[in-house]
Amino acid sequence: MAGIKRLLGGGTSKTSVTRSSPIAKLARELVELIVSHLIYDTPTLLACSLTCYSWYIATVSHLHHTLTTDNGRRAVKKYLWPTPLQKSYELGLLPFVTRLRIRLDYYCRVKFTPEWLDRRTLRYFSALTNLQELGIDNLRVSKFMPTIRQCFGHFSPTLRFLALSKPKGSCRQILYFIGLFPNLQDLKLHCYPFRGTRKSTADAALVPLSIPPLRGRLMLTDFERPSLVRDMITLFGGLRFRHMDLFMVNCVRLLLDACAETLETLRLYPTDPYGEEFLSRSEDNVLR
Amino acid sequence: MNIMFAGDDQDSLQYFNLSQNRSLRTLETTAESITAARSTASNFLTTVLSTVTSPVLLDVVIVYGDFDLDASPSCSNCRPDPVCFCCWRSQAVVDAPRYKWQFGVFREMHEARDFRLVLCADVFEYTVDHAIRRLKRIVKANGGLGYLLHKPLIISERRAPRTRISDSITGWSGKSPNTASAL
Repeated sequence: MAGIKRLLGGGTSKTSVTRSSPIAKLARELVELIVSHLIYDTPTLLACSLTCYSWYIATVSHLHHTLTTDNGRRAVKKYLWPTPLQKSYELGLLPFVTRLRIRLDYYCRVKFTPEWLDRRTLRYFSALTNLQELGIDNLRVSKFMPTIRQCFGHFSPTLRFLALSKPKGSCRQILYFIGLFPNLQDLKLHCYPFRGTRKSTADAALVPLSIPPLRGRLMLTDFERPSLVRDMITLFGGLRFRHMDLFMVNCVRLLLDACAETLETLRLYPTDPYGEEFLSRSEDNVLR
Repeated sequence: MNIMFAGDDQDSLQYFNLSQNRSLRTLETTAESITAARSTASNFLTTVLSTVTSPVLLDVVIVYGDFDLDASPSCSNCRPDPVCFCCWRSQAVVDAPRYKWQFGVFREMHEARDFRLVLCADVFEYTVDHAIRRLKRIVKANGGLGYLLHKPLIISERRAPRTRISDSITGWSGKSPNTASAL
């Protein structure tokens, strides 16, 4: 490490400024090996990316894999939608982005609607060609119907992880959205009951375009939509998650039964209010 | 909170009954929630454990975050670099009451069912070694785990700074969009 820092610092005082940098002579595999030890150290990666073109190429994908927009209550202007997206687009960095997080204020009534994706923004969105993880707060799925595929469909070959916090829409609409991604493995949901439009005939006829494998991790927090789980079981032909992380979920039994054959890891929290309920009823049963 | 279940009484009793999950290998929880739940923690975890019928050896993983190990994920001296060494240099109280409490819970859980205890440091990549050392000191300071039939493990989950903090809500760090600093 000290050697790398010395190299990055320009070598010793005896180094001639006219000689080419010894960094440029390093084999590409060696550079990638060095960079792989620094992937969690953003400042050092940044320093590496400024040394020469070959080091820039080796580091750029590690520096720009995550893109976050933040329209929360305390959001800073430069992180407001769609500024980070636009900047990355202008610098040609969007193909390196593997994670996109669209953050809205937790208590705010602002929803992510089609108005957020005008023609210009949709162009930036389409440049995200390697997106593997997508997180959206307050996604108003119902407002995107029936053209939701045009906005998000291009993520379908690569997307593996989807996180939705307080999505708005009927169960069928949300499952239609999830079904846009045929390679989806992990799912994170934070859902309250939807008190929107009544179920229509069109909604009942809505069938997901694909059945994602969903064999990875299911993370549910503050989840109060058992009907969504039931519809998922019906429309996706069962659940096959191997890992579950459940906190304040009001359909634990349904999930445990649905994944009875596949579940390997379960994360629970003793602070879960449903845990207290479980205990009190267990004790009542013993007393009876 | 509105709890909605079909066939309420019987189903509610079965919330966390794991007897049907025959391929279950690992039960996870967090040190933070054990401490926060106080007296409920032991009762809840032993009750859940007693329902496990999976024939394979069960790993019970207790996840320790930075704060559980008396370390802050960032401090004023370290910003904007999230890797915080100076916080880790401070002398942690390894026999704090919360650890004594947690180790008491482990003992009660062991009485309910045999398992292998796995203490997992869920910390930043750069602080993994510090976290492992601290966990070892905590185990020693709290009387060890010699009563367990299976040798306990101390492991780490190496995390990138940008995956942390907002994991509890959805996905990734929302505190500071890290890539933005590179733009």
